[in-house]
This record gives sequence, C-alpha cells and structure tokens, in this order.
Amino acid sequence: MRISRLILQEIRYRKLNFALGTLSVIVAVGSAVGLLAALRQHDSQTQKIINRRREASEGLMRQNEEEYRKIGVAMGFNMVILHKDQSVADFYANNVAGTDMDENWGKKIADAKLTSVNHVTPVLQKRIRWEQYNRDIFLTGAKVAYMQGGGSIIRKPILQQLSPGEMILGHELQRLTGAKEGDRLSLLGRQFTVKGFKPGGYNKDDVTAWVSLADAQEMLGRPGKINGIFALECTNCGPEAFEIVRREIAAILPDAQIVEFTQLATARSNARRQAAAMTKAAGEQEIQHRQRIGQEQRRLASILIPLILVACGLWIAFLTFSNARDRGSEIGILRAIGVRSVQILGVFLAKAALMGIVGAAVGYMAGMVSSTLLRGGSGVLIERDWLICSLVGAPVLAVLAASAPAILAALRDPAVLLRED
Amino acid sequence: MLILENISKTFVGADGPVRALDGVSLKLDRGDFLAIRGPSGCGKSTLLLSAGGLLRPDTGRVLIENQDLYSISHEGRCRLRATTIGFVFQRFHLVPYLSVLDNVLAPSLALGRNDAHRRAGELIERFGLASRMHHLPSQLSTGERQRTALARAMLNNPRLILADEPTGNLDPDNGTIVLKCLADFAASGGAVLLVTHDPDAANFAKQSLSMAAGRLPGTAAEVPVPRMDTNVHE
Repeated sequence: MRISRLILQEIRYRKLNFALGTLSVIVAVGSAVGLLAALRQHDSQTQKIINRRREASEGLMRQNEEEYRKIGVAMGFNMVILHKDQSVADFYANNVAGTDMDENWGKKIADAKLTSVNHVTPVLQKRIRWEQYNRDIFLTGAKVAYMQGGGSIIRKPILQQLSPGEMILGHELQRLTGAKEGDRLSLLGRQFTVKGFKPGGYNKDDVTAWVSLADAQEMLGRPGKINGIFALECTNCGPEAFEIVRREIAAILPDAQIVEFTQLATARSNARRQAAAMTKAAGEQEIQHRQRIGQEQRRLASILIPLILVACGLWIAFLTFSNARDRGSEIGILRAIGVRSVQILGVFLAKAALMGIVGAAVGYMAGMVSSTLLRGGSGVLIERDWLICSLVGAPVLAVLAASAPAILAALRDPAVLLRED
Repeated sequence: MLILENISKTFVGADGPVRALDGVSLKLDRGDFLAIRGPSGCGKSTLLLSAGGLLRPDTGRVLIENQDLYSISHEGRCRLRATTIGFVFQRFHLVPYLSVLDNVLAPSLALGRNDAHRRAGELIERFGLASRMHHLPSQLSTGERQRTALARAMLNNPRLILADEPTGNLDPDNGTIVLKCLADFAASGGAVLLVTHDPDAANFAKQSLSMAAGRLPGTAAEVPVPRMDTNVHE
C-alpha cells in the first residue's frame, strides 16, 4: 500500500474535515483573486475612460482646428504683412498700403518654411477709378505662389491663381458689370477675361477686381513691387499664434510689420479651445476621482488579503490539529507497525497541500467569475500568472499552516497514543 | 529473540511517581509463547510497549535478536519493529477508514514489500475474512476485527508477536481462535509475548508468569533472568 492511498481514503472517510479546509482555501484564494481582479478591472476601466476622454478632447481640438482653418479660408486672410514704414492708421483709413516692398519678400517667407503662417500671398493693391462704370474699386494683383509658409501640406488656395489677362470680380462688381464667366472686360485700358467671382462678404473684397500680380504691377507702373503680403496665421498655434508669427516674421524680414485684421475666427477658436479645455478638465476630474477610488480599494485589499490569508492559515492549522487529535490511535498503531514519523508528517502535509491545490483551483475560478459578474462584464479572463501563483501559493500556505500541528502529531509518543485509546 | 534485562519504568502522575516496571528481566526464544498475567495496572502493558520499542525504559536493556533496541536510531527502531515485531491489541487499533485488505496491508507502508498483496490475501483467507475483504472495520464483528488485527501483525512475517489482551473484547469462541493462531505462530518458530488478565488465555501459552506491582516473581534485578524452557502455569 502507498501513503497516497492512505491519504485519499482518509479524505473520503473524513470528508467534512477536508471540505472545511478546502473551503477556507477557496474563500482565501477567491477573495484575493476577486479583489485583485476587481482592482485590475477598475484600473482597466479607468484607462479606457482616460483614453476615451483623450480621444474626445483631441477630436474636439482637431475639429476646432479644422473649423478654424475652414473659417479662416472662408473669411479670407486674417493678417497682412506691411512695410514697417507703413502707417497702420493710413492703411485702415485707405484700406490699402501706400508703402511698397520688394516682391521677393513673399518668397523669403516661403523659403523660411515657417509653420506659423499659411497661404502667403504677395499683393499689390490700389484704389482706382473704373471709369467705364463710374465706380471706385480696389485693384488687387496677387501672386498665389506660396501656398504654405513652410509645411508640406498642399491646401486649396484662398485665392485662385490667375494668369496674365485673367480677372476675378468681387460680388458687387459682378452685379455692377453684369459680367459672366468668360466675358471680356476692359480695365485701365487692358483687356481681361472674367475667370470667376468671389461671393459676397460685405467687405472691400466685394468691390475688388483681382488680377495677376504681374498685370497689376504693369498697370500701376510699379514693376517688382508689392504693398502687402496676405497670409493666414497657423490654426494650431493657440491664442499666442499672432505673437509667434510676429516673432518669426521679424527674424526673416526685420523691415516688416504685421497687422491682424480678422478677429472673428480667432474668437471662435478661442471659445472652442476653452470648451475643449473645460471638457478635458472635467474628464481629468473624473479620472482623478476614479484613481482615488482605485487607491482606496488597493489600500483596503492590502489589509484584507493578508487578513484573509492569515485567517485561512489559522483555520487549516486548527483543522489539522483537530484531525491529528482524532487520529491518535491510528498514528499510534502506524508507528507501532514501523511507519516512520516523517511518513506520518507527510500524510498530514500532503493532505494540506491537496486542500491548497483543490482550493486554489476552485477559488481562482470563483474569484474571477464573481469579480466579472459583479462588474457586469462577460467572459472570464484567465490570468496565467495569477493562476500559477494561486496553485503554488495556496498549497505552500496550507502546508505551512499545517506544519506545526503535523509535526506535533508525528512526534507524539506512540506508547501514549496506544494507551490513551 | 527477546531479552529484557532488568528494565524499570516510573511514571510521574498527579498522585506522585508510579513505578510501572521494577527490574523486570526475561528471555524469549523462537518457539516460546509466554503469557504474563496480572491485574489491571500491574505494568503488563508497559512491559509490552517497552519490549516493542515503543516506550523507553528508565533503566535496563531490551535486546531483540541481540540488538539493543533503545541504543539504535529512531529509524533503526522503526525498521526493526516493521521487520521483526507484530503487535496485537485488545482494542484492535484498526484504521477506521481502511478496508480489511488495506488494514492488513498497512505494515507494507513501512517496508514497501512487493509481495504484500499476495501475502495479505493469504492471511485474509487463512483468518476467514475473504468475504469481508473490502469491508470497513465498523462493518465487522469484534472477532473479525481482531482477526484482521492479527493478520496485519503477521503481514511482514515477524519473528515476535506482542499481544496485549488480544481476547479482552472477544467472546470465548473468537478468543479461542485468536489464541490458537498465536499458539500456531509460536509452534511455527515465532515467539509470542502475551499479556492478559484472563487465566484461560494464559492456558494457551507454553509458559505463564504472574505480574504484580511492576515485578515478575523471581526476575528482580538481583536474580538471574529465567529461561522460559518449561511450562509454568500458575
């Protein structure tokens, strides 16, 4: 006969003792695994919320930037670079600048590959009289060559690139001339083909005739000159975008000054940015709250789990002690027939180890399932490390707990045990 | 086979020290069947446990096959018990959750004999327990329990059987069966030391001594160890 048969037969005979010991391991392992799984799930959910919030916040910001860009494009340029000698008061009074700059200033900005400005468009503008229609209008020659300050993204231009002899009319001028696309119109003695019209914007663009920069320079007798560079400041530089542009342009063109003339898009952008920041702050508040709860749960678990393990150990020790007391006669006779005390010790420790293994396996599954059910989730995840830890740790704990009473049992005097019975 | 040389044992109880054995000496050879009679508390069981290596005497020596039982290691004593001695007790001391077969096989835990199953089967057959082989002790009559205990004692082919009131709980018929078995064992070359308070049981022994107050008459420390070569029925 083998010792294992003795152990299994005894377990069958004293089912309650084994069941109570195993139950305590199930409770201990189940509680520990359940608590840890709950903590893991809490952390995982917190992380999901963080990711969701971050994505939402980033999405909002992206949406904001895109809208800002669209608004910017729709509203036209929002800044103009002028010569520093140009009086801003005069510029506002006349709606055009009187001080010329070299045409290559635009190229300098483009070559600097700045990220703070887009749609760099050198222009030559002048208020002129369109005698044919007896109306003062603005003539704007533009060179749509530098789409991007420095980035590589090709965007749809705010202005259509015009070849010499082509013209685009503002909304009022379209109405005034009654022209249609492809019509030929005469301006300052030069013939132009109408390429298109700009929609009404209730600003000076409505009374502007757009031609190529080269045509304007020739018509106004100012070859190689411009009097402004329109641009769109970057859409993702935040509220301090204008300062960035000013600083970067100053580094390239020290004789330039910048006038920001469109505030609406910026105001909208700031409002959206603020909304995004508030959303982000609210999200972070919730995340901090969840993290606080997580920390409290961890603190609770760090107290509860050792307590449960100690209680389980004490319970197994008590059961082993009780079992050894009940088996006094058996130990006595086994010793009398030559079974060594170390074999007796093995009988008790192996039984405890078995309690640990069975309890760990059942407790682990119970812990994972209950944790999943309590969280309202579905599908129990098997954490291999935890399973191994449970299957090794629980038997070790059970054996340690049982060792003292088992040693006492193994060392009991067989003569006393046999006489006691 | 078995020599007790002037062994003494004193227990300290609530009422002071009790001298359970007082200079007991005896010698048992192969084929001997010695009964020691005496009233309860006279030291019979203490003598038996000391002789079986389960209770170290305060003084004196216990020699089994010329080995001083209490000068060898614990492991050595266990092995000697497993190979040489069989125990039979009044209360049977069967393991309650093992079947008759497993109880008879229990001594193989100590020695791991390959032929243990065959030997157990023979003994179970011999003691008329074949139909009860897979029953638990609680399902057996007292006679069957004692026969199971006897079969267990003989599994490892011991050369000495120490029997402590083996018929104390049995009816006369079953008592006779057990005592005959012990007598047969002695007749086949084994040695039996039987302690009992039953005069009828002692009649089955070749020799019988009466014990009182921890002493065997004529075996005090100062007298020579008696040689059990004649029937001494008191």
